[in-house]
Amino acid sequence: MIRVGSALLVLLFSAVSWAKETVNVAIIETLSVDIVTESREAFTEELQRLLPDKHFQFALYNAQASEQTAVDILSSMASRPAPDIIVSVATLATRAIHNSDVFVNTPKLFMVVSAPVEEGIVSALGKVSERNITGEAHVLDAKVKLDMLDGILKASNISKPLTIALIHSTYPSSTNAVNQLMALENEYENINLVAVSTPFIEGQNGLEKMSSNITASLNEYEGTLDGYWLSSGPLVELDGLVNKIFNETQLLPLFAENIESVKEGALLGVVSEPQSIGKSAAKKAALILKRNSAHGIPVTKMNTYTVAVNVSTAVKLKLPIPSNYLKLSKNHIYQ
Amino acid sequence: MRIKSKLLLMYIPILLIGMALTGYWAYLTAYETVREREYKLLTQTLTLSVLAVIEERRELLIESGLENEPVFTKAYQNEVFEELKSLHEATGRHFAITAKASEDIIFSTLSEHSVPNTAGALRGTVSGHLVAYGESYSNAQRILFACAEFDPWKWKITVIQPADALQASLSKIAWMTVIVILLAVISVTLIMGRVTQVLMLSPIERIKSAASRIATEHKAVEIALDQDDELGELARDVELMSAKIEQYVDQAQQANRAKTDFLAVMSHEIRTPLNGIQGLASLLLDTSLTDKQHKYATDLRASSSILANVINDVLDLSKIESGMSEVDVSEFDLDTMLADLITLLGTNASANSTSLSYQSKNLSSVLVTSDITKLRQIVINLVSNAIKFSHKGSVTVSAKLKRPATDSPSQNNLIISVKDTGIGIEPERLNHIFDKFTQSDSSITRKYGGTGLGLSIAKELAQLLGGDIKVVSTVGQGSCFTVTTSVQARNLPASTQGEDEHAEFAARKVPEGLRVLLAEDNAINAVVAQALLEQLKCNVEHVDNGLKAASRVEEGGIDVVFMDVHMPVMDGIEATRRIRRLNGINAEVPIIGLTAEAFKERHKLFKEAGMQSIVTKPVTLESLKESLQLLN
Repeated sequence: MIRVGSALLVLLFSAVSWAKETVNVAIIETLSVDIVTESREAFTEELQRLLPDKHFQFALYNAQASEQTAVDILSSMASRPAPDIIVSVATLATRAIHNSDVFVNTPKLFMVVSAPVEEGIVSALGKVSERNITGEAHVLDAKVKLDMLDGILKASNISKPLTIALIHSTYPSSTNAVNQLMALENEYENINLVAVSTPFIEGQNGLEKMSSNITASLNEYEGTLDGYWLSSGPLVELDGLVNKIFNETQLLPLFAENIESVKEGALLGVVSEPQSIGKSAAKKAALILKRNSAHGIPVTKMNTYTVAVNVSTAVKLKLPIPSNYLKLSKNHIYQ
Repeated sequence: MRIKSKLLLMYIPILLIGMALTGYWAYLTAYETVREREYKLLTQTLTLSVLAVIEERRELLIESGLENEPVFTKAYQNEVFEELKSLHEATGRHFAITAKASEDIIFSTLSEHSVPNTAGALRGTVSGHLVAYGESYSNAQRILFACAEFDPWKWKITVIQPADALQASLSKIAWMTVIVILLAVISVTLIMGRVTQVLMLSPIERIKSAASRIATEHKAVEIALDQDDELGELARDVELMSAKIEQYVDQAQQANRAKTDFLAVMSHEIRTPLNGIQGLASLLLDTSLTDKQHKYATDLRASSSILANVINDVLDLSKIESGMSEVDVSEFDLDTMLADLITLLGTNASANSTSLSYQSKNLSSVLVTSDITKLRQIVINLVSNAIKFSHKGSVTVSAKLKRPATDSPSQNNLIISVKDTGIGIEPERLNHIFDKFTQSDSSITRKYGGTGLGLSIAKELAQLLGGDIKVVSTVGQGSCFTVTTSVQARNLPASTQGEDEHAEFAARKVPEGLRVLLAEDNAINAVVAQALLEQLKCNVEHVDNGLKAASRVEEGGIDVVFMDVHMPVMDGIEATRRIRRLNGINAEVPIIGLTAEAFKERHKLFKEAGMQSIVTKPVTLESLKESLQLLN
C-alpha cells in the first residue's frame, strides 16, 4: 500500500515537472572565489523564486580564471542546443561571451563585473549593448569610495596626508578600479595613493603567488605607507590576505571591497554583497526570459551597497569613524 | 446736535472701549500664545534636535562598544558641536554647552561666551527630558532660553534665542490688533450708523417734518410710515394728533373770528357814543361857560379821554394776543418822532409836576425803518407810566442805536431807556410788572389809576418788533426801563425829499368853503363831526344813511364825502361802491371813511371799496384836518 502511494506521489511530481516550461540557463564563472560562487548561488535561487512556473536547468561552467578557458567552454557549448540564456560571472568570462561570435541570438547576462564600460560592453552606464547582452556593474564609483575614506580622515583631523598603497593584480577589473582611483587622487588632500601591483596569475594557485608578490612589494615601501587599499578583483578574495600582510608589514587595510576583509581588519569597506548581486541579476534574467532577448535592456550600476567598518582598526589607527558611517554600517560593525 | 451725531458720539466711545478691551484681551492671549509657542519651539529644539543628536551618538558608541574609547567620544562630541553650529546657522538660535559641575563653557555659538542666568526658570518635561526654560539676559540682551542636562557626558546644554523676534512678533500683533480694532470700529460705526439711519433716524425725520408741518400749518398730515414698531405707532399717533389739531385749530379760529367780530362790534359800539361824549365836551368847551360849567365840561372830556385810553389798551392787547397786530414798517426820523412825542407828553408831565427830558445819541440825521405806531405806543406807555409814578420827580428818555448808522440801510438795534425817579418797584414784584392787569401793588391802581395793561402792551409790542423790555429798579429811587428793538437804520441824506414833503404837507391848508357831505346815522356823532368840520370852514350837508349819501353825490356839487361805515338802509361800504360806479366826475368824489373799527384789515377792506382814507373815531379836529390835507 505504501509503495503504491509513493509511486503515485512520484508520478504526480513528474507530471507537475513535465507541465512546467523548461528553461536552460548556462552559467560561466570566471573562477571559484567567494563573491563569484555566492553571487551565482543567490542568482539561481532568486531566479527560481521569481519565475516559479518555469523549470530551470542550470548548466555550470568554470573558466578557471582564464579568458581562453571561457572561450573554449563557449565553443564546446556550440555543439549542443543553445541555452535560453547565458550568464557570465566576473570579468574574464564576461569578456569571452561578449566577444564571442557564437550564440549571437542567445541573450546574455553578466554580473560581478566592475567596469563594463572599460570592457567595451557599452559606451556608458545606462546604455544598451548591441550584442544582445546586458548586466550590472557591482562596484561603487571610485569617487564615492574616496569620499567615504576622506570623510573619516577629515573627522580625525590628521596632521598629514595618509599614504595608502593601492594593492591590486593586473586582473582587468582590478586594473580598471585602480586607474579610476589614481585619476582622482589629486582631489583629496588627506589621501596619497601609491599603486602596488602584482601580475595576475591564472588558476587557483595564482592567488597565493599574487599575495606573496604584493607582500614583497609592500615591504619595499617600508616606513612610508600608512595603510593599504584592497581593490576589487581576484586578489581581494584570497582568505587570510589581511593577516598575512599585517604579519609581514604591520600595515592595516584602510579600505576594502569585500566584507571578509573588513572582518579581518579593514577600516572601511563599501561592497556589493554577493546576495545583492545575485538577486539583482536574477531580476534582469527574468526580464530577459520574458522578452527572449537582452536587447533594449540597459547596462546599469547596482544601487545596493553595504558599508562595513572595523572599529578595532579605527581605535588602533586613532581614526574615529564618523557616526553616520556607523549608522550606515548597522550590522557590519566589526571588531 | 442731531440725534445721529449724538448716537455716533455715544456709539464710537462704547465701541472703542469694547473693541479695545477685546483687543487687549486678544493681545494678551496672543502674547501668551506666542511666548508659549517660542518656549515650545525652544524646548523641542533642545530635546528633539540637540539632545537627540547627542543621545544618538552616545547610543552608537555604546552599540559599537566604543563608549570608553576617548578618541571616538571626543570625535562624536565634536560632531555634536558641528551639528550645533549648523543648527545655529539654520535657525539663528544659539547653543551653549557647559560642564555640569563647573559651569565651564565647553562649546558656544555666541560670540561672547556667556551663559544666561537660569535661576527662576520654568521647569517641565519635554519628550522625556527635564528642561528649564524662561527669559533672561545674556550679554545685556534679552533672550529666551531652554536648558537641559546630559548626565553621561556631564553636560548642561542651553538653547538661546534673542527675544527680538518675539518682541517683533508681539509688536506686529499689537499693530494688527490696533488696526483691526480701528477697522472694526469704523465698519461697525458705519453699519450701526446706517442701521440707525434706516430704522430710527429716517422715520424720526419724517415724524419731525410732519410735526413741523403741524406746528406751522395746523393741518392733518400723512406720514405713511409703514413700520410695525414704536416709531410706526408714533407716526400713526402723530397723524391722529394732527387731525385733532386741525380740528381744534379750526374751532379755535372760528372762536377767534367770533372774538374778533365781537371786539369789532364792541369797539364800534363803545367808540361811537364815546365819540359823541368827547366831541360834545369839546364843543361845549368852545362855548361861553361859567367857570363851574367849564370845569365840568373839562372833567367830562378828561374822563371820556381816560375811558378812550382804557378801551384802546384793551383793544390793543386783544389784537396782539389774537395775532392780529401787524407790523407796519416805514422809514421815519426817529429822533424827531421821539422829540415831538416827548413834547406832547410834556403836558402830562407838567400836570404831574414831573420834569420830562429827552436825549439821543447817534440818532441825529438818521432814518429808522420800523413800525412807528408801535414804537410810539411803547414810548408813550413807558413814559406815561414813569410820569405817573414820578410825582415831582423827573423822567429821562434816552435813545440810541447800538451801532452808528451807515449810509445804506443796515440792520441795527435801537435802545430806548426811560428812567424815572419815581417810587421804584420792589424786587419781588419786578418779575410780574409785565403781567397783564398787574401793578406792583393793588393800592397803586387805586392811587395812580390805569388799567395795568400799559407795560404788558409795551413788552408785547417790543417783542413784536423783534426786541424786548428790561427793567431795573430800586425802591424809593426809581426805575429804568430799557427797550431794545430790531430796526434798520441809515444816515439821513443831506437834503431829503421826505423833509420837503413833510414841510409841504404841514403847510397845506384846508380850502375854505369845501362842500362836505357827512353821512352819519348817529345824530350826536353827526353833530360833533359837523361842528368840527365847520370849524375847518367847511359847508356840511348831513345824511343819515348810505343810500341818501350816494343819491346826494349823484346829484353833484359835493367836494368830499365823510362816510360812516355802519349805517342803516345802506352801509358806507356799499354806498362808496355805488358812488364809484357813478358816471362822470361824481364817481371820483373823494370819500373819507368814518369808523369806530380799529382793525387795519377792515380799513383795507374799506379802501378796496373806494375810500381814500380812514378816520378812526372818536374824531378830532386834527384827524379831520389831516384827512382833508391828504386830499390836496
